Amino acid sequence: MGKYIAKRVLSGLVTILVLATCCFFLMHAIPGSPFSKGEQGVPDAVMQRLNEKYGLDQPLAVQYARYMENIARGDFGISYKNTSVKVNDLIARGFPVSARVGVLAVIVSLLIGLALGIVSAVRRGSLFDGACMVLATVGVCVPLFVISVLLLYLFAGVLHWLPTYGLSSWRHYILPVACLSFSPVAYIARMTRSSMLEVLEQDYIRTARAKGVAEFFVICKHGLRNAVLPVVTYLGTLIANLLTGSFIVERLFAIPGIGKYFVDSISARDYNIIMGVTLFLGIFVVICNLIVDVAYGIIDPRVKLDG
Amino acid sequence: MDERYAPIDRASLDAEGIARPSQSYWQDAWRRFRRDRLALLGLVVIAAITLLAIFGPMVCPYGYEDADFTCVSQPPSAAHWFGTDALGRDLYVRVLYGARISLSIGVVAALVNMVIGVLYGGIAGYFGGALDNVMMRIVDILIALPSFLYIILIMMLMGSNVRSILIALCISSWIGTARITRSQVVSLKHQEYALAAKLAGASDFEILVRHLLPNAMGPIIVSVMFLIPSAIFSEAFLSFLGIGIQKPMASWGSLANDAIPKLTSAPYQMFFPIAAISLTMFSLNFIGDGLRDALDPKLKK
Repeated sequence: MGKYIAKRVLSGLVTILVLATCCFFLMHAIPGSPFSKGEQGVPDAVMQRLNEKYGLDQPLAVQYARYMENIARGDFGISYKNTSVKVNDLIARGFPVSARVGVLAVIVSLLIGLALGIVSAVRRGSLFDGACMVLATVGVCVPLFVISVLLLYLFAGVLHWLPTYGLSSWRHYILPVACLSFSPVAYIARMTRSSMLEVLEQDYIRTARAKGVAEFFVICKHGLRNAVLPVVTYLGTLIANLLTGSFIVERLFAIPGIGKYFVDSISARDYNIIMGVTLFLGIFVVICNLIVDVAYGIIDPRVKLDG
Repeated sequence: MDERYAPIDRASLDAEGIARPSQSYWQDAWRRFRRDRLALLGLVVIAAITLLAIFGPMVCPYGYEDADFTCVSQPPSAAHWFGTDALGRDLYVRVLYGARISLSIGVVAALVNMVIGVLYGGIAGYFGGALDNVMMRIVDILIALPSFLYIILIMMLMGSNVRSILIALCISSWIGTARITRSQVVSLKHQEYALAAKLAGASDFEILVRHLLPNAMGPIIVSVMFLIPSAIFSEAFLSFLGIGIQKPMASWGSLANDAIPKLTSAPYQMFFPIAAISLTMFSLNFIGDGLRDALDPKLKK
């Protein structure tokens, strides 16, 4: 077990190192100094002072070493466009907001997805099963922004039931969370249904039934425990998808989260912020994947620990 | 003796003859695919959208960037089937241009990814050993990162246009194909026909390309088929965020993006692009499912 975890941590570290290196060199591949502002430009002396201040006059290797050192200390740099803006401040302000919406979306996706999957597996071939599978196909095929726009238009534009922007009350969370969890619900329902169908044919389920275990416990205790394993592996992908989704949802619903700041800085071509946030999100996803991998190893002892 | 029990004349029988023409793998797959109604429907829809995308703009009286300020934000009418946008541009023609961009990005990205993925996975799987190990570790590193991160980085570096979207998509999504190809090649390379080819003096490259890859083609085609909708989706995602296709060009994502501020006053501006992309995604996914069941019947539940 220790060896397995060590291997995963090592591979995660390499991933982060590669991403950070890519970010650094991409930033230097973008033509022009970060301080050259259009036609009028900055006076040479000012430019020189700026370059000195931020170490941009140093050789590339020195800059690289300093960049890596800063990241290791958890400092993701500043905006060169507006030097009072730090990437870390943006993260501190935006990430908790995004995380609240994201965690809610994970919980909602899991609860509804698992419930739909279990019921349609148990009532296989019923009308409910059919409806669930249609819903799952819709959720898999229709892009998130289409779903978001439709929900926004229906519940906020036409029916006026729910607020359209901000996060000032619990009602503000309903639409963003619903949009974000729509397609994960579909995936989880599909996955749970097919693995549940497989599990329900196993001998130990028949044994449990023969022993006279109540059907509810057969399904929830003996069945679900084994059927839920593929869903656990999906959690890593889910977190990455929610991050991507947050770019769209936070923009549509004007939520001041990290996704909105990221998209805004892309529109403003604020390269340093983009790189900093990218790196932060990359590290976050790698850590989440690591946790999911290790958790999977603990939940399912059959998993090959050398993998 | 009862005639029914008389021995038949063996000479008249053609015991060695094959009663029906033999079915090749592809004929067999086509027979299975034809039975899948949803997949056939998807094929028809995609064919219709492709034809419209190619020929529609030619017969339409408007160009995709012709602004007409006398009819701004008009709802659908006989003159403008899908209405007009805030600059008075005809939305029907813009949606068709969007189809051109989305479909060509989907197809080109899928083909390039197939070539990269098949070569990468084929080489790793065929040669195995340390090379395989290193190549697969690289894949592990790439797969640990969500692809949108490096897609956005590449878009930043190269600017927002069709070419950089294509390059970004080509760099990011060959991994799935590479993995599938590798696992296929690993399981096929010890088959007798590979050994026979080797004994006959074929080079490694010939064995891989002539003998192993054609036999691994089924699952590879299925995975590439699913790359098309995912490439179209990525382009729409980027354009919807305003960092993909730039004005005055139009893709379904950017049309939807343009329609956001007018969602309540002119919902039809949003409806047509998102209907087009949803229809396409459904059709492509149905075709993909049909192909998977046809080419890889073992996977069928």
